[in-house]
Amino acid sequence: METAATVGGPARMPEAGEVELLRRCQEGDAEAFRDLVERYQRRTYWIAFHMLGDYETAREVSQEAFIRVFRNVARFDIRKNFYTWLYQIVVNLSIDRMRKMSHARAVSVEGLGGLADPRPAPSESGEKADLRRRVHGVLQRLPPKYKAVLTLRDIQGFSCQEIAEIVGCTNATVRWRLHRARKIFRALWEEPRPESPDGGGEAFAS
Amino acid sequence: MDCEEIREFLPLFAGGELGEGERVAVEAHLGFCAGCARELDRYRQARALLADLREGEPPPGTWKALWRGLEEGLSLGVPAGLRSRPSGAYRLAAALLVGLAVGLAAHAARREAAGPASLPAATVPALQAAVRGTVPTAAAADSPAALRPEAFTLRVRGGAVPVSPVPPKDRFHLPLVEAFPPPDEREF
Repeated sequence: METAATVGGPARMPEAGEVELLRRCQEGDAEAFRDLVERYQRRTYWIAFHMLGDYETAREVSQEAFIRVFRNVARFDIRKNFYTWLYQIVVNLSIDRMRKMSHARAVSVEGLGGLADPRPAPSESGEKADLRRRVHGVLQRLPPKYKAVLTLRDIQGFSCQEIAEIVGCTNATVRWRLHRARKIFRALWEEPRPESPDGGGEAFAS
Repeated sequence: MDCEEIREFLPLFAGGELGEGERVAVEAHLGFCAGCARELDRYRQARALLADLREGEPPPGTWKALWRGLEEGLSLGVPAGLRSRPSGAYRLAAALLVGLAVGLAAHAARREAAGPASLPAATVPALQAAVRGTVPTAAAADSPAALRPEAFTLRVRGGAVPVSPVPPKDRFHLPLVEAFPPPDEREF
């Protein structure tokens, strides 16, 4: 019987190839480290981007995360999942960066911080890009802990157990945060937009 | 359960995170309640909007800049003398430290001429040593080479490698990974 504790599947076990790669990194093999970065750079970057809402800051945080991995990989227990460790570093660095940014920016209604400039990528254009930009803009208005679980679950597709490991809390806390995060996201998405011709919020098809 | 109670389950039902008992109860209710079914659709559509953000293309040059940043960031962790060429950021930091040292020395000279010295005599050598990447001790003053880190060999299999690792013996002196939170909940 499936229980709430196992919903979304357990964290995957490290692959044999990855264990070998990590072992080589621990021995100081720089080529192995390069392979490791290449393997994880895209997902690392997009997690940071969805947390921070800014391309340049996401690149800086990704870079910082890999530097920390490199400097501490010798102490990493290779029987554990490397990706949960890496993404934990990314999420925590992103939250630290958000805190610094929040000092300089206004806080919107009900303590929901509007921290980011959801610019589209230069290659994006048109209606779909506009929609993505607005969705991303709403995501950025969520408090960091809710933004983290939505990014990891609804965007990146991690299981609740994986998210619990990444965020450093219990499975029950992850589910509680997801519950709150989805309610807040939906409320913000349906909030009236000033630029909307009829003053209405975003409408979901019904 | 009434609609109000069922709707509290919908955010997690939409993502498939409910346990079996809760899921069965919600499904039974949705079978006859069109209002709650519409609510569920809105959560599902919100999830679909977020899922659509997953794939994208970063601005051109992002990966190149990331690798350049890694090269510069990691080369800072290598002891002086083992670096092939200091990065621009390192050269700037070194220049600033030298400038600071000179300024402090001039300040100390002025204070000494005016009255009792307030700047420790070791300050300038310490700053200069920091620029050189050595530890300012009495031994360093007598024999700088004595403090040079032991040479280490980086095993690289082919190709240019954009990183310069910290020697293994220094790894154990690095700070613990700050990113590891305690096992209990970390409040952001």
